[in-house]
Amino acid sequence: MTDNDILQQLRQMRYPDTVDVLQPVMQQVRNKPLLTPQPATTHRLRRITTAVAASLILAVGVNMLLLFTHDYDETQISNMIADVYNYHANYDNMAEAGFGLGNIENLY
Amino acid sequence: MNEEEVIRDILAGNVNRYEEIVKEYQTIVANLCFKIGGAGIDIPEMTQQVFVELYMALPRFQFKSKLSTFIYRITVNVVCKEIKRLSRWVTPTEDIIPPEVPSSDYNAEQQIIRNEQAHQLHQALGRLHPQQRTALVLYTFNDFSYNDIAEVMQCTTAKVEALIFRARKNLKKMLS
Repeated sequence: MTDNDILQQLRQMRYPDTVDVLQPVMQQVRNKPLLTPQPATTHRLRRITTAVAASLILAVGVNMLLLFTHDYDETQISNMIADVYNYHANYDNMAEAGFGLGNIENLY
Repeated sequence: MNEEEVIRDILAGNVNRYEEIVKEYQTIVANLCFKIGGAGIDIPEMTQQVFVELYMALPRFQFKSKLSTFIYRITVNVVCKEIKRLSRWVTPTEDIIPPEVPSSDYNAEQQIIRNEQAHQLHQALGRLHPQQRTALVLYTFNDFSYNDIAEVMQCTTAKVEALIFRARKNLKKMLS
């Protein structure tokens, strides 16, 4: 079958029986009140909230994934702890040496 | 039928005018359900559901697109939901001959061959990915443009083009 045959056959395809759903549809419709649409702002607000929530979930997910998959060795971790410790130690020493808090913060 | 006027009348409370929409579109909706969902789904039931959902969705219709596009979008959503629920696409049984081929154009032998081909095509159509099938069916349905299909399927025109290309390629492969 050629491509054109396929398209032609698809065009000719019909549901073989006659469908008449008028009565059942009208019966159902008469019992259903039409709902007034929500204002556009509500829709927009809902979309923004969903987008923010999705971004947060994605960010947390990616971070958790990195945390669990990244292979930190012990030296790296010790160095990181040491860096933090040194930073605070210097800060304390300088404070003891008489620098004002504002000055020290400016230095850093 | 002036569709805008009919819809405004319905929204104003004249429910009886909904009959006009049902009468106008019920055969088209049934055909679309049949082409996208296959003969395994209950076509009259689906058609009925489409019109009930359309009625409920009428207040959301903003007259920016054609009513037919809005109806097709609801039809596609209803049928796809049903396919998902059934988790399968049922191929037609022997007693349902899918396409109607104008018999006067062919002799008896040609008619048999064409019916057999149509049956194979319908089965192959059922093996396509639902999105590819929907795009291809809409493409051959009322000669929709890529833009119309994109509007119905709520995706980009580029995606529609890709879906139709893949659907045609896969169908050709299956039928060769």
